[in-house]
Amino acid sequence: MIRFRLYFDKDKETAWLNEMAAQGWAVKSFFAGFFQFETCEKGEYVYQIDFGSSFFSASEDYREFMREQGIEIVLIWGYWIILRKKASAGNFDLYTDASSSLEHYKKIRRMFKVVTITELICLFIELYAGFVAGSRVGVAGALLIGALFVGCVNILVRLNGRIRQLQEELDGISSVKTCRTLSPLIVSGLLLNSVAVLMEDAVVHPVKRVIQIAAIILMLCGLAMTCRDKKC
Amino acid sequence: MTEAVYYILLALRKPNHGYGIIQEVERLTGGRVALGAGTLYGAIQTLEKKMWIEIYSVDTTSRKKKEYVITDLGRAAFEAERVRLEELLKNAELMGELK
Repeated sequence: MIRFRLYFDKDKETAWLNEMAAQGWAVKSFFAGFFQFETCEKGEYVYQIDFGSSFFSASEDYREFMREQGIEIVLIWGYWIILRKKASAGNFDLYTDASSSLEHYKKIRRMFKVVTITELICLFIELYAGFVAGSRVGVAGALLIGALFVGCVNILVRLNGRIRQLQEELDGISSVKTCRTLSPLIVSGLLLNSVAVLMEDAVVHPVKRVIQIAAIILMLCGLAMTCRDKKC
Repeated sequence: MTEAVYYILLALRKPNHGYGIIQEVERLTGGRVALGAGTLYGAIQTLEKKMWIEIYSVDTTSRKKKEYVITDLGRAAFEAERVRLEELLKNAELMGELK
């Protein structure tokens, strides 16, 4: 079975993989958002996702260390390492104290910062191609990258929240703060708009207009949602 | 020094391998501290770099199990932490005064 999912948040992805395993589906491979599953006994495995220190590889040391504890490396994608352990072999947690979790999330945040800045640069290039050079693909590209950019900014906001929480746990003093994330409605608006821009002029004009108006409404609603304060 | 590092050093007073450290720490704390694989792996890497622990043996027969052991530098760091903790506990008695 193949499922397509785009996750920016590794904790949500871990929860999903474990939910699938509980239903008898064990993830086997991954390529650019496509997860391939094979059947397993219900709840046979517990999954965890680690963030490695090298791109698309893990050291022999790491492999050995995990193997010794009955932990299997299922796959490596980028810096992400998907691990699993038989549920019958006992508890499976990766980071069990605040300071090591903090380091883990800081490493992830560093990676997302680099990705976000890269996207911003690409965004400017596409914007130039789209609006100065007048390329339709450029405009659509800019909107697509814009949507990805919003996703990355959101995960950075969430990671900052999690890192602050862990820091407070370490310090032993906590305070209540609010955090602001960009609404997913903005992302859908941007995506819908890029679809409209890509549409050939041959397609009946009213349809395109309706889609663009819908996109603008989505983005405006998204903006309104974003401006509301939320507790993290 | 974090609790995890403190107990890892303690578990390595005699040569031990990854899984052995987890079991030893669990035994010492009555199950309260269960080290996660990521936490332990990261700590071992850092401690090895700081030369507080070193590789004791690599079993080349069958599956190699790397064993680590504490160094003199590690013992010194542990002792410094023990002295600090002792001071904390001693000063904690002040809380009971003037009640």
